[in-house]
Amino acid sequence: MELNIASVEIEPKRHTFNHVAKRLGEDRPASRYEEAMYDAQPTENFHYRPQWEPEFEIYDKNRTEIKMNDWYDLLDPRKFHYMSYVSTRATQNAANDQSFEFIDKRGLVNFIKKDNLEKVFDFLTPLRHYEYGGNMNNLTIVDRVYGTAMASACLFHAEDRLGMAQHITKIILLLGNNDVKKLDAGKDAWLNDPKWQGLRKAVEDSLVVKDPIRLFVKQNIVFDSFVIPLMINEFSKYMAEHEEMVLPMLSEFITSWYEETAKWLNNIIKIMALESTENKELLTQWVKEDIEIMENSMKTLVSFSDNSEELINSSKTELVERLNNSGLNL
Amino acid sequence: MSESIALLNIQATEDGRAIAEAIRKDNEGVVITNKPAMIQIERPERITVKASTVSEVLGRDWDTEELQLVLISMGGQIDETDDEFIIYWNN
Repeated sequence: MELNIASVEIEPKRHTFNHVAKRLGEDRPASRYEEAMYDAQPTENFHYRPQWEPEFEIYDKNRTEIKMNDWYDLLDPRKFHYMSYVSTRATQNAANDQSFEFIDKRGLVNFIKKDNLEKVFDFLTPLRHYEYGGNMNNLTIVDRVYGTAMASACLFHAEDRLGMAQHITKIILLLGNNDVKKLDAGKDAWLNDPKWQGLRKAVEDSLVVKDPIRLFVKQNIVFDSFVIPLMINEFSKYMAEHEEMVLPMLSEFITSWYEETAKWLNNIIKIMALESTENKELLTQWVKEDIEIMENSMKTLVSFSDNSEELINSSKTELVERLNNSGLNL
Repeated sequence: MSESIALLNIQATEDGRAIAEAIRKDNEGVVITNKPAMIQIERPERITVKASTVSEVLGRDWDTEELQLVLISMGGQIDETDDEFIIYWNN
């Protein structure tokens, strides 16, 4: 007897949502990123205008001066949607936890020179408040920007910033033997120590910026490309030069996170600049204004190094090069 | 003699779909069929999977070794390097 197993092929009626298929131009299986992001935000039939801002609709393209024909052009090359974001960060955090455990288990903190330890408390602790500012600014962007493409990526970025503030807290508590007074001292320095006041003013001024893309440029493009390379990367290098390897190990998470994030930031600037010369000129002008603010406010802060001016200049050169590659004219 | 068909069947997962998308970009004339839970990829002579294209589609660094995680079956000879995974017929 011959047994014949026939297979029935079931053709699915649709491969993705209609509104996603419309964007892709064909009914093919879409990625989770595409399905989670494309056109998730409502675009019409808003019955009421917000009472606090009746000149705009709830979702309104006119909250920013930047003009985009399609706000869903601003894609995230990392393709972050909830699952990919969470699993990426969980993997990175697991690797990072190992560094913390390694240092804790071997009591390496006891071998840090007192001078170096004081410097870490002095220059790293107040950055918690800078990161918290970054968190609030990105939440403002989420609140005011148009389109899920930007809103979801900025929300992930806002959570990242809260994570970085917590990460710095963990470093300080590990190095300071769980003494929370170190954190209080950091807040006091952020509020009162003259060397932090330039940066604090810059952050506090940025908290009231209303245009979401203006704020995006200020916080994510310009502020961060001074603060993170200088206060994390260069500071770690300075520590390494002074025979201190524990801090570079602990702060590696922030360094690699920033490298990854820069890919997204560059892409957003590139697409906006490509859209129109008006956008390009506006972005260029905004970046120029903010670079000037940061050059001044970082002067007192890079005082851990003898050649602070050179370091600030090289951060600036690097940023200008990066943005020119993304199509700006600096 | 007709050309032999290089064949690659992979699971239709998030990564699998990205790999299929990358193959579509790099291999002209490839036939990609979406089966239930599986993606069937066929092309005369050779299928090239480039790590750089998959990384770009996925948005993260992708290693050719990771193809094994979604692999169901293949037809052809294999040439695997850090940059490419090639299925081909040498006849």
